[in-house]
Amino acid sequence: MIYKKLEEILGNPSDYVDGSKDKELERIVKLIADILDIEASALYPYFYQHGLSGIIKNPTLIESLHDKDINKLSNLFELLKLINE
Amino acid sequence: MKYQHENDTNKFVELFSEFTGISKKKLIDFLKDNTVHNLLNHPFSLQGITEKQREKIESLKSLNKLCRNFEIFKDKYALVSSNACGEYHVNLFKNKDKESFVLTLADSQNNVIKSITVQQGTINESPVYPREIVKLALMYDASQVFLAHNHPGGSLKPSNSDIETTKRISAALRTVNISVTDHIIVSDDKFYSFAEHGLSYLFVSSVSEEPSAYKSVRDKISEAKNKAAKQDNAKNHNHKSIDKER
Repeated sequence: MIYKKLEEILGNPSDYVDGSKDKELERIVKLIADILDIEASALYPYFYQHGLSGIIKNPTLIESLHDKDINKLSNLFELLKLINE
Repeated sequence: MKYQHENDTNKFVELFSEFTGISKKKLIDFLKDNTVHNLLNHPFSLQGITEKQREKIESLKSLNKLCRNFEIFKDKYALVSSNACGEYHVNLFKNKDKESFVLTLADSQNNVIKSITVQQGTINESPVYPREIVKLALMYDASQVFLAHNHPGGSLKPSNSDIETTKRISAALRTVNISVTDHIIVSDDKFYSFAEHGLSYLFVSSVSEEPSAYKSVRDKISEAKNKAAKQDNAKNHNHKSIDKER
């Protein structure tokens, strides 16, 4: 009962073990950087600050990228959306 | 290929080609007999691709799998207010330097089903066809639609042409019981909402000039009704004459 209550408040505990969600986000950022042929280090701070969904909704939050790369990032998210439709 | 609308297929091919370097022609040919699932999961079935292109497909596949864990692409955007609707479309028109007209289709709970660019270039010169809008709204089973267009670097004030376009599209959609909920004009990061500025009557009032296609159909229905009424009268007259003779 107590665990259930804690889960309701904190979410699924497995999300926190070894920072698994953060590790996934790190892998996502690395893959995005690979696909776009840009440095992953330029992306990490923005993804951690705004979260994946925050960046998807507004890629211009990544101030370190040029307009051309922001367009490429928007196109990549658009492609992923189309794959998931 | 699984997409309902040809534009989605074209967009998918264009973007997939951009990120993998595989030619559009090769992708189109492959997708004639295969699905997107085949393309991602069995890249070797695509003949003549390089090792680098195969690696790009693998990266896309892994990225897609990871993103699905986050369920981010299942998010639904609910356009519950003029403000939410305005902000949604401001983001949509970001980086667009050409004038475009976007149709956003939504369900009865205001959740966005899809946003489609239906016109590019100067709206005044190339009209938006209500017929195309009705077709898309029915195809995606929308309960309501939001119209939006941008005035790059220009004024937010709606022109006479914007008002006429709104009336015509609303009138066409009313015939299939789909409502227009708002029309948004975007300029840079600002927006103008027709609904917020008391112009909602445009979505429900009749157009000043009835489109000729509707007039022609209405005339034909009226003509058929008159003909049927005349035939009924003639039949009644014949029955009465026979009764009298008896």
